[in-house]
Amino acid sequence: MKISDFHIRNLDKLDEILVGLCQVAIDRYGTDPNQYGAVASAVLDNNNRLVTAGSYKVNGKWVHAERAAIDKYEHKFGPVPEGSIIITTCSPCTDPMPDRVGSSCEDLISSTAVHKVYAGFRDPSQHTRDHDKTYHLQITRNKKIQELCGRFADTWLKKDLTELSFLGSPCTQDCSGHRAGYAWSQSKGGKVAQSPWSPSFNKGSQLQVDGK
Amino acid sequence: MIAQEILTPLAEVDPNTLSGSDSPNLNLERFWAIAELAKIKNQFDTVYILGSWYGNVALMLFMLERYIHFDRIINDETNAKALQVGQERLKRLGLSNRTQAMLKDANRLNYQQLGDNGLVINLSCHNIPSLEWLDRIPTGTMVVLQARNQDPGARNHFENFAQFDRALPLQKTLYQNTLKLTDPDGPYEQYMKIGRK
Repeated sequence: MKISDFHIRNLDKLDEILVGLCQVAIDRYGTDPNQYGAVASAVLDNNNRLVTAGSYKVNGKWVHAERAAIDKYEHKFGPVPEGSIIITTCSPCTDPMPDRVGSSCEDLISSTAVHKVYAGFRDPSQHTRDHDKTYHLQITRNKKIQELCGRFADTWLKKDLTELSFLGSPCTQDCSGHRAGYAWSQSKGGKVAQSPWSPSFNKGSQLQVDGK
Repeated sequence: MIAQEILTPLAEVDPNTLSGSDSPNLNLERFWAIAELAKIKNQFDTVYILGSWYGNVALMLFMLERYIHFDRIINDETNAKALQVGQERLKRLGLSNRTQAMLKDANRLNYQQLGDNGLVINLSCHNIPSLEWLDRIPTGTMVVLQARNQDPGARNHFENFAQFDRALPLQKTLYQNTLKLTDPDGPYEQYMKIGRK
């Protein structure tokens, strides 16, 4: 890979697509918020072909928008070619999520030829850092669009904070301790942490070992 | 009276606070309104926002300013505190020179500042008592109207889109639709009409 592979140009056009994706998200979410999420993604290839999709539920699990967009593109045109960009209203997920179909969006994108991801908002609930990821993530510099996409992300972020639980285990301030412990245990192949400082980290690792 | 004072806050779907006014669903409804409006017409001079609360719709308009152009916004609200907080919020963002706070009952407005390309937005038609405010909007003005059902604290109850449509007649409707959303109290519907009064 060359460094030029990662450069994202024509930000105005990408920002315009982000606003269009917000529209895609609301058109779907507004028909049934239990079936569709308020997040949308797109694949833009070198031939300017744009395929958009939103997140949706199948058998009680969420197909994230990035996965939906990649699947849709591949169904229409074949494998996503080198040089394509994934555009998404919210940055790709990285953490383990029991209610998600398939692996994380980070892993999924890393398994394709895509090296560029342009997002409207960085999801603060995602903590896992995968050094094997093969793409560059750029968040829009347009503050207004960041704010707009953040408001769409609020539909689940604020809900998470209200529920204050991680896989059924109550959280105190947010779910970060549980999430980190869960991810740590997963990276160790299933191990219960014994941290003297963070009971929630230990609990998260225990939940992973318990197969939650 | 005391019982009413105790019960009213419990009946509120989105609490009357700055954070309550910024709930995810309300923001989606605002985006929906402006995104659909921009497809129909995207050049306006003065925009009146009725029931402007904490200036939330104005913020959404500024957020989408690249796609919809306007000269100035008049935020009309009867809650003085909310109006003041909203104006301070816009000031902090450097947007107050194009906004004006108007502490006045929407049922008493006379739209003196509305130009030929004016716009009136009311996204909480269920919350403003009586419908006199609609009669006072000059004929032919572009309007964006929204209301929801299933709000126990509503001043005007709309059970379905047909009721909303009948209660708020327009000379010409250019867009109409319903969003189905869920809040902590359960599922509800948000109705919208865009058109010429």
